[in-house]
Amino acid sequence: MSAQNLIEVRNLNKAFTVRRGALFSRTTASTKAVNNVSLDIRKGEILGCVGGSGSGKSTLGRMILRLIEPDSGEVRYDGQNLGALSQEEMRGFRRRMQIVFQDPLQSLNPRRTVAENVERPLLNFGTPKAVARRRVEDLLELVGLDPTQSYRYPHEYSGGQCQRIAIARALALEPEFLFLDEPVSALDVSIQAQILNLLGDLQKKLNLTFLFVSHDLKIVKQFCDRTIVMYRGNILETGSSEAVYREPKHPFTRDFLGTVLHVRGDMRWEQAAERAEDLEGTAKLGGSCCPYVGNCADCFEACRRSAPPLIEIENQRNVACFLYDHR
Amino acid sequence: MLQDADVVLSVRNLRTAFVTPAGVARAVDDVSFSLSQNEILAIIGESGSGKTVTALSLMKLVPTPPGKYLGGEIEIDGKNILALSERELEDVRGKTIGMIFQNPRASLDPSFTAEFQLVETLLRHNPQLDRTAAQAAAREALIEVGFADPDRVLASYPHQLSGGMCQRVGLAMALACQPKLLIADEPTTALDVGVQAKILLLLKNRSRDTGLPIVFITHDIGVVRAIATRVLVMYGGHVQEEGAVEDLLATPHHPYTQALIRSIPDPDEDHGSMTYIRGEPPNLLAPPKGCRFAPRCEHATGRCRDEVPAWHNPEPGRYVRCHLFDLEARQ
Repeated sequence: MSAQNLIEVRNLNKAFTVRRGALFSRTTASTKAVNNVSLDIRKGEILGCVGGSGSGKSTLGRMILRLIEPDSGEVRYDGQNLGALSQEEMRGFRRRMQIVFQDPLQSLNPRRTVAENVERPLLNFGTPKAVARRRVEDLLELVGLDPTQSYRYPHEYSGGQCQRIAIARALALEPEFLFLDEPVSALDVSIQAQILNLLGDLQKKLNLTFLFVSHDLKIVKQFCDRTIVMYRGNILETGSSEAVYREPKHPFTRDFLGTVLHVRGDMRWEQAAERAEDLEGTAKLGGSCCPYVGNCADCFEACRRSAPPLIEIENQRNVACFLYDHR
Repeated sequence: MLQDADVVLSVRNLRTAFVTPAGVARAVDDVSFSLSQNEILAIIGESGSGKTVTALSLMKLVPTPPGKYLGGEIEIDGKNILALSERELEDVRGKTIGMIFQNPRASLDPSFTAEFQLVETLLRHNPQLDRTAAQAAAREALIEVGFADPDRVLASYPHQLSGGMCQRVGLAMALACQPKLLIADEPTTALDVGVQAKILLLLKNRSRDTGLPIVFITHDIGVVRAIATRVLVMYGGHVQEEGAVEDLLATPHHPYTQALIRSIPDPDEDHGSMTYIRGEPPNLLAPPKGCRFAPRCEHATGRCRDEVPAWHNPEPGRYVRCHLFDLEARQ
């Protein structure tokens, strides 16, 4: 394990099955949510993960936190294989890694005050009540909320403020890693930038490591150091956020970027829209071929025979596409 | 301007409020605008700005109570909507006004096939059609919204279709009765970017080819830029600014519009910290006395806090509700 990596993921797999029938249930369909994914998250970086719905980005993040058990593969956290730990041992690691969800109102307990929500993790890990209360005040101040109002309930706060509360709660146990699962997607545009700035400041101040999942390439480009692009459970491309945005290599990334609507936009999106895939009638891809073969403009014979591996084509730049695989 | 033959929709001084135990929330406060053939009008605003209540008011769909129409007029295709009875409205909704909503699954009935629902809608609004003709029209409507395999879609239940497909079935249903006006309330917000682009292109082409006017509610300026011809910016229940899309986005007049555009990351510019609007949107139960945006505005003066700005017309086709444009007071 390289010393600069906080998390190393190796060959992670997860399939979800659909079962029909109560008594003699049988598996009727199986979807590969995450397919043989390997990646490193370096200490102190913000790693972005973009993809459409169903690309497996949330499942990947949850498996890293072991909120979902993988079918196979390994997650190493600070050198320790998390899958090999017992529940009791895992508890020690839980406080080092936390999650912030998309919908802040749903992830806070509506029957508990803000203070009770934020102190819950502290009490769970045995902090005395009086100490926890003082810590809650510091945490609320840290995320820009007024600690004297902490007796209020979450519904009395706006979406952006609730997300601040959720961030305070996630930071209560002084974790070093946060999995941010679309943390600003449910917020208004003017509030999105507030929350992203807050997260960026906290990351620097507390030297945190982030995995930031989003479907919005504009935000990922702005906020993240590196970006991975996912599609149907596969990583298709990785690189610095700048490089992925400026010079997308994989045909999927190019198509995906083409449909992003810009404020000072031209009308290029219209051509991209013609080509865009909406998964209508696309058959479940069985066996071995490139996952994007069904909609790729550049696909050729080799793409239908086997799935291209993720290979390094330049320094820090990995692409899973035969266009770049000259072996 | 309101006598213009092409005007399909005109709204004058609309005021819609919600009467709650905590007080009266004026969600839409003195809103006026009009819409002509070939136009796509985007109403942009954040949550609580009044954009969805405006859209619902156009169809008289705000639940009363707690909602209440306090005043104003809505004229669509010569009909005074707010004066119509519930029975008369049933003929207007779906026939004169087509609508699509944010959650595509919520506007379809989960227990019936797409064909059943399309045919039902067609028969309800076109009594002269027989079932066979309605079935053919349903199939045709699906082809028009871009389905390559309409028969499979016709036979499907909503849960067998993806979100994007459901939204297109909803759109097919809204367009099948040849409405005079389409109201689209954040129809692409819940969809992936690729599917969003596909649906926006469909709407844009339809409006261009048939002249269909569209009221498009959104919070996304990228979407506005992509399809709208004209924009209405709402904040705190007031329309703050109006203008043609290119003009308004290139040179926004209202400080709120300016700040809103600045707060969107521009990936083509170099890395830097994002600018954002401080503070929170106004509480409509106790809105600011003057300009709704004054508490968050960097140009606000005492007058802004005391007095609601008038509707100024600094140049042809551009309107703004801001004291900075009160030229008489400045002289």
